[in-house]
Amino acid sequence: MKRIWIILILFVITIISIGCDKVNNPEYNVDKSACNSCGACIGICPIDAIEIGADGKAIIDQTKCNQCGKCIAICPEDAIY
Amino acid sequence: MKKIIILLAFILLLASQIFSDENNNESNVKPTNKYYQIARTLYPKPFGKVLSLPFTWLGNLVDEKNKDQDTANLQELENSEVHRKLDFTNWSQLSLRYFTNDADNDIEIVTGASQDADKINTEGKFGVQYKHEVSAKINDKFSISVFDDIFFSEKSHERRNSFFTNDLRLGVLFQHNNTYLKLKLNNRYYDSGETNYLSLLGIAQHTQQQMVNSAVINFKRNFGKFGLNLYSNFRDLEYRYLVLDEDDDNSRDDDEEFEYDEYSASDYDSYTNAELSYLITDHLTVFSRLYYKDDLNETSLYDMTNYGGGLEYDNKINLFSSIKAELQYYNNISDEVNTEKDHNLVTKLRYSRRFRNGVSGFVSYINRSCYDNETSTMYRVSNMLRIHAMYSYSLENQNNSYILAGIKYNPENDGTLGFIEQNQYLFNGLYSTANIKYSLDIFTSYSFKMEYFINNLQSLWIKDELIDYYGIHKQNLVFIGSTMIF
Repeated sequence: MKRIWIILILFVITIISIGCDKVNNPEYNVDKSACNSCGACIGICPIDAIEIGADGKAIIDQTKCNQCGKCIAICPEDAIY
Repeated sequence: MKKIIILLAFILLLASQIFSDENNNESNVKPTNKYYQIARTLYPKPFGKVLSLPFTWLGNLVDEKNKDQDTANLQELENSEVHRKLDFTNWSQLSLRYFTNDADNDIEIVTGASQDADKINTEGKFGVQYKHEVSAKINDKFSISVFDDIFFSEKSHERRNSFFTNDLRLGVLFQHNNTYLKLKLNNRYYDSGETNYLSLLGIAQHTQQQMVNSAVINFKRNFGKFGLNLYSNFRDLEYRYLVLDEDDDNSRDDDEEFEYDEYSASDYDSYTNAELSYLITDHLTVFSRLYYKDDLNETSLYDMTNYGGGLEYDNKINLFSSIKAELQYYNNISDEVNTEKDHNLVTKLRYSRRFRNGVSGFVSYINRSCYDNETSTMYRVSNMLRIHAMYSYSLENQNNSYILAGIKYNPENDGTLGFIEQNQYLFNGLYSTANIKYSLDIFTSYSFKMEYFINNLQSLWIKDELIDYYGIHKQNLVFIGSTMIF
C-alpha cells in the first residue's frame, strides 16, 4: 500500500511538471544510477565544470557549466540529461 | 616518421602486455565473473582478488643483540596470525586509434578549439591510450589504489583542448564496521601548447588550462538508524593567460601582429557536502543535505549553496524485482544561477525486473522542476525517461551472449536517443559486439568490435566506430587494443 502511495505521489508530481513551461536557462545533470564513473565527461568538458563527487559519480558545477552539450554525446551510458 | 615510432611503441607495449603473464594458462573460455563482464566494456573497472601475496610487515628485522627475543617475537607474531596479506589487482588497457574521416566542416566540435587547422583537417591521425589501475588491500581495514590514464593523439578530436592528457588518481580507503573514510588525490595534466585560449566562467582572462589538482576526503558513518556522509573537495586549476603588451600596441604598425605577455595563475574552488539521513523503516529513509561551493578567488559571484532534504524509498521486493523512488526539495542560492531555479524539486523512480528466461530490464524516470518566486511560476528543468531491456542467452556453457536495447527520452536537453547492442559468442574465445545508437538531435553512431580472449584474463580487440554529427561532421575511428587483468 505504501508503495502505491509513493508511486501515486510521484505520478502526480510528474504530470504537474510536464505541464509546466520549460525553464529559460536549461541545465545538465547526471543520472547517478546510470553513471559508471568512467570520467569521459570530465575529460571532454572544455571548461572543467565536472568533478567526481562523494559517491564516485560525476557532478556538474552549475555555476561553471555553459551547456555546450559535449558531455551528452561522449557519455557511454547516456547518463547526462 | 612520428607515426612509425608511435606504431612501433604500440606494438612493443602490446607484446609486453600479452607476454607479461605467461603463468596464466587457463582455458580459452570467456569468464562468467560479472565483474569481468563489466571490465570488458569500454570503461572498465578492476575487479576482486586475482593475485594474493603473503606480506609480513618489515618491523621485525633481527637485531643480533636481541636475536632470541626478536625470534621469539616473530614466532609469536606468526602464532598470533598477525601475518597480513596484500592483495593486488592490476588492470590495464592499451589501445591505438586511427582517425580516418575528414572533419574540416567544424573544427570547434571536433578538436576542442585547436589552433593548428592543418593538423586537424588532414585525415589519418593516430592516437594512443594506456590505462592502468592497481589496487591493493593492505589489511582488513585499509586499501589503496592508483589509476593512470595516458592519452596522446595527433588530433585532439576527443579529449578537449589538448593533444596529450594524463589523468592520475591516488586513493586510500579505510573501512571498518560502520566507518568509511576515503582520501583521494587527483591530477589531470593537459599539454595544451598548441591549442586556443578559452573563455571560462569565473576567470576574467581567456585561458589555456594546464593542470587540475584536487584533494578529496569522504567520511561516512552510521549511528544506529542515523547516517552521516561528509564530503569535501579542494580543487586547483593551473592555467596560462595572455595580456596585450600595451607598449607594443601603441607603437605598432597596422601590418604588425599584436604581441602578448604570457602569465600563469591558479583558480581555486572548494566543494563541501554534508548529508544526514534517518532510516524510518527498512525501506524508507528521510535525509537532509547541505552543499556549499566556494569560489576561493576574488569574487564570490560563483559561490553556491544548496540545502534541502527528501525521502528515499528502496525496496528489493524479491530476487527478481526492485523499486526505488526519491523525492527531494532543495533551495539554491547563487548569484550565477538564475533566480528562477531558487526552489527545486527532484523526483526519481526506478523499477527493475528480471525474468527466469534470461530477459531483464528496467524503467527509470527522473524529473527536475523549479519554482520561481518572483513570477510564482513552476518550470520544467529536465525530464528523462529510460527503458532498457536485455535478453541474455548462452550458446555454450560459460559463453554468454546478449541483445540489449533501450531508449532515453530527454526532450529538454536534446538527449533523446535509442540504441541496440548485440554481443555474440562466435567460436574459440572470439566475440563480436555491434552497437547502433541513434540520437534524435545530436548524432548517430555505429560501432563494431571483435574481441579475442587469449585466456580468462587477457584479450585482444579491434573496433571501428563511426559517428555522424548531423550536418556538422563525421568521424571514423579504428581502434586496436588489448585488455588484461593480473
